[in-house]
Amino acid sequence: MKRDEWITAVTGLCADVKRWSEARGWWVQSAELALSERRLGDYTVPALMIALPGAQRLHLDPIGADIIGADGRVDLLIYPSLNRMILLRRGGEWRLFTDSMVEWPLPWDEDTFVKLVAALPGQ
Amino acid sequence: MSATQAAIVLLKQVVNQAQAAAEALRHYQGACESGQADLPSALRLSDLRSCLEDVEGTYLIRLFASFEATLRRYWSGPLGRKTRPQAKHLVDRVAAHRKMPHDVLTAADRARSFRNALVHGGVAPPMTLAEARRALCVYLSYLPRDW
Repeated sequence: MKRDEWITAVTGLCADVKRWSEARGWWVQSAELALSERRLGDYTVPALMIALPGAQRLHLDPIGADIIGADGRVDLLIYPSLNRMILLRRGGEWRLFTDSMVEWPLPWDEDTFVKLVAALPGQ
Repeated sequence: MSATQAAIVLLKQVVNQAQAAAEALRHYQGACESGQADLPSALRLSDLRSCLEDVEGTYLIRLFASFEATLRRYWSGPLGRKTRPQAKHLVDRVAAHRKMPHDVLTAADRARSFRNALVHGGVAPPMTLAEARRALCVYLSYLPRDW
């Protein structure tokens, strides 16, 4: 995946997650993450930190586009438990995987995101 | 502590032990040179110097052995594989399974190549122990937290 396509995909993902979160009254902080990949060089992508009920935080961390077996990877990491879900970019779509790399049986959309946040143990 | 955190801590301990060994050797070498300590009769000061020069390499071999042992546990445990692949294939296949960035795999593979050059001879770009530890710890951070 080219760098511009990757940045556009992550920007869209962050915009979706930010909108879904704010619709539920969750506080969202946007950030710019500096990434450095040998094939893509140095660049910045958006990232998010979401304050969830119960003093838990969800970080949306872009990992990179030069990923083995995928066109890009973004981690959803919940604090303080450090439970992780993984979004892989494939064929122009985001697909959700558990930390054990089992594909989540639901499409990546607002409903799945909300269910995920409720299901991920934060503590 | 999770399985992955424990494996990362083990790598840090190897590096700490290398630093402790190097400091102890420097201290002993200095004491021998100033006449405050004696060498066993079978040893010469040159043995201490070469030992000190080899500390990084010796502990880099240990570092990679600890890393490889973790990957083999992950391979036969959570991944349920019955095979025993060579280290290069093991590193490649776990990286593919965990969807790691290419750069993460490349850095870990550099540590493996340098370790091979130390053990078997041959040429590989050198790496400091700290660089190798960083590369292997980043690689391990892509394993699941608990397994």
